[in-house]
Amino acid sequence: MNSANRALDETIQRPALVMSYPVAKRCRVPQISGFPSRAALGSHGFLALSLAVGWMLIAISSSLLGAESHYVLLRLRWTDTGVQVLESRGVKGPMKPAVNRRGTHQVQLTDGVGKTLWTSSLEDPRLRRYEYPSDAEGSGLAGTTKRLPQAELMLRVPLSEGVREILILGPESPTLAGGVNRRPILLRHPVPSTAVVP
Amino acid sequence: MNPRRLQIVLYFHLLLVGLFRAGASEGQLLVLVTNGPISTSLNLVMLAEGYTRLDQELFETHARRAANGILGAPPFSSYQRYFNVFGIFVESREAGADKPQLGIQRDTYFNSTYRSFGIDRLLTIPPNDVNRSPEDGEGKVNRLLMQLIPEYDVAAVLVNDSDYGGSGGPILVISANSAAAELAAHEMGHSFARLGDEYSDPFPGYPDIEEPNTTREIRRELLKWRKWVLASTPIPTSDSLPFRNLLGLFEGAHYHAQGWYRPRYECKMRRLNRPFCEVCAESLTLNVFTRLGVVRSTAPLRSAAVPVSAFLPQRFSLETFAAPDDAVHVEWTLNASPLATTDVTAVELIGSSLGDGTNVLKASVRIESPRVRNDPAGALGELVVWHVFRDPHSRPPLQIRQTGDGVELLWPGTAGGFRLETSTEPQSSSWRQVPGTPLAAGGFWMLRLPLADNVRFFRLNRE
Repeated sequence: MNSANRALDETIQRPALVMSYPVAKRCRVPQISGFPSRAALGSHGFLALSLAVGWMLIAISSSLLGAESHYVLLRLRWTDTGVQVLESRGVKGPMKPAVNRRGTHQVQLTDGVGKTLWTSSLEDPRLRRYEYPSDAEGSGLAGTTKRLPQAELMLRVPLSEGVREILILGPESPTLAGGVNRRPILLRHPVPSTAVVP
Repeated sequence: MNPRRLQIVLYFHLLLVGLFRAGASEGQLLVLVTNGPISTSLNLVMLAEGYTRLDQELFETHARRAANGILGAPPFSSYQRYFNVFGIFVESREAGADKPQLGIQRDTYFNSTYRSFGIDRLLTIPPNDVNRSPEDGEGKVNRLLMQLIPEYDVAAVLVNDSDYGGSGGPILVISANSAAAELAAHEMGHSFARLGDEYSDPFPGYPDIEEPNTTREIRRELLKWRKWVLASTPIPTSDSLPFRNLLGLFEGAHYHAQGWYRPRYECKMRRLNRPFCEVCAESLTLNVFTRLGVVRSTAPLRSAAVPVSAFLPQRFSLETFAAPDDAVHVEWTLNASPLATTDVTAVELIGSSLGDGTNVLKASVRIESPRVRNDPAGALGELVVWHVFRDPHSRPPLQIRQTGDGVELLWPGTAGGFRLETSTEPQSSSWRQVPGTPLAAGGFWMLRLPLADNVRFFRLNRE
C-alpha cells in the first residue's frame, strides 16, 4: 500500500471505532465475527483479541462443516468524511442474490493486490426517499426526498477464497478534459485470511 | 420425514436459535411463523416499537396481523409458505410514538415520531429532522438484526399506535393501524423486485433509469411487457373505459406526469389498496425465485457422490419452491440419455443400469407460472446434477415369509451370480447351498422350503 493510500486508509479507519458502541462491548466470542479494525487493535486490545478468536472460530467451524458457503454482513455508517465499519459478522449459508442493485457507489472485493474478485453497486444511504400515505383514506402515496448528514447501511458481501479486502468507492466524477476521474476510496477494510475458508 | 414432523423439528430448531441469540442481546427474538430453515427461506422481521413490558402479547398479535397483510397480498400469497416471520421484542418505557402536532412525547426504544419533516403521516425513526443520530433509531435496529437474525430479508419497525402512518426506506416503519400493511406491501415491491413508483409526485434528481414496471418506450414491439398487452389495445393507452381495465401503456409514472409510462391504470405501486398489476406480480415472482432458487431440496444431497446398489433401486427426488398453481416440469437424464419417469420430481436408479465409473444424473427443472410470461434470465429454471456410481459392495436383499406349512425365500431377479445358502449357526463355516431350483416370479427369484424344527439362517453368497 502506498503512503497516500495508507494515509487515506487511516483517515477513514480512525473513526471506525467498532468498539465504541455499547453493543460491541457486550459481544461474546461465539457470536462475534467482526474484522479487527486498526482502531480496535490500537486501543482495545482485548476486544481485538476476541474478534480474532471469533474469526478463528468461524474458520475452524466452517472447515469442520465442509466449508459451507458463508458471507459477511457489514453495518456501515456514512458521513461526510467517509464510511465506517461499525460491526461485521460472518453468516453461514448462501448469500441470497441481490436484486438489480444499483447506485452511484461501488463495493468491491479484492485480493489485496489490486485484482477485483466481486463487485456490486450501492446507493448513498444519506439520500433518502421517504414514502408515506398521503391521505387519510389510505390509498394515496407520496414521497419526499431528504439528504441526511449521516446514515447507516447494512451490506452483505460474499466471502470466497482469495478475498483480502473490501473497498467502497464513491461515484465517478467528470474531469475538465471530458474524461472521468477515478472513483475515490471511501472505505478500505482488510479481511483476515483466516476468515476465508477455501 | 412427514411435513408435520419436519415443521415441529424446524420450529424447535428456530426456537433454539432464537433462545441462543437472544441471550446475547437486549432484544428477544420471537418465532412467529416457521416454514423452513432461515438460510433457505425468506425472513421477514418485525421489531417492536412503543410496546411496554406488558405489551409483548399485543406486539405478537399486531406483528402477525401485519405479516398477514403483507404476505397475503398476491403474488406473495402464492409463495407465503417460503417465508418465515420473526419478531424482535424490545420494551419501551411508554406506549405509542411522538406526535409533535398534538404535543405528545413518548419515551420509546427506537424514538419513533409522526410528523417527520413536517408531514403528519410520515412516521420515522432517527435519523430524521428531530434527531439526526442514527444511533438512536436505525442503528439500534441494525444492531439487533445483526445480533439476532443476520439472515433477515425484510425488516419492519412496527409502531404501537393506531394512527395511520409509516415510511419506506431501507428500514420500513409502519404503525399498528391495519391499513399500514398496505404501505409495507408496496415497499416490498421496491425492495424485492426493484419496482418503481408509478405515481407522478416529482422526485428531483432521481435517476432516469427504467424499472421493470416503468418505461419511456412507446413502440409496441419494444415494450418490455408486450406479452401482457393485447394486440387490440392501443399504445399508448387511454385512461378512459374500457381501456383502463386492460394492460397497456398508461402515461404517468416514475415521478413524472408525462413522458413516463406504466402497465396498468391502477396498481399497488401507484396507489395503495390495489393489487399489484400483472407486470409487477411477474417481477416479484421472478425475484422470489432469484433469491431462493427453484429447487428447495434434493435427496440425496445434490453435491454428493451417490453409490447405487446393483439390486435395490435408489430414489432421487427433489422439491421445488413452486406455488400450488405453478406447474413443475423436470427432464431427467442419465449420461445425457433421457430417463422415463412416472413421478415428475423423482426417479429411481438401479446399479445394474449404470455404466462403469462415474455416471451423471441430471434433472433439468423448469417452473411454469401463470404469473410469468417473460423470464429472460431463466430465473424459473435450475439444473441439478448428481454423480452416481455402482456400489461394488452391494448385496441383494433376501426376504422370507411364511406360507402355510412352509417358507418362501425371495431375492431380486437382477441378482445373477448369487446362490442361496443356509446354516444353523451364522458365525460358523458350515454354510451350504440350499437344494432346489428357484422359480422366477414378478421380478424375483423364489424358493419354497418346508418348515423345520430347528433354527436356520439363510444368506445369498456369490457363486
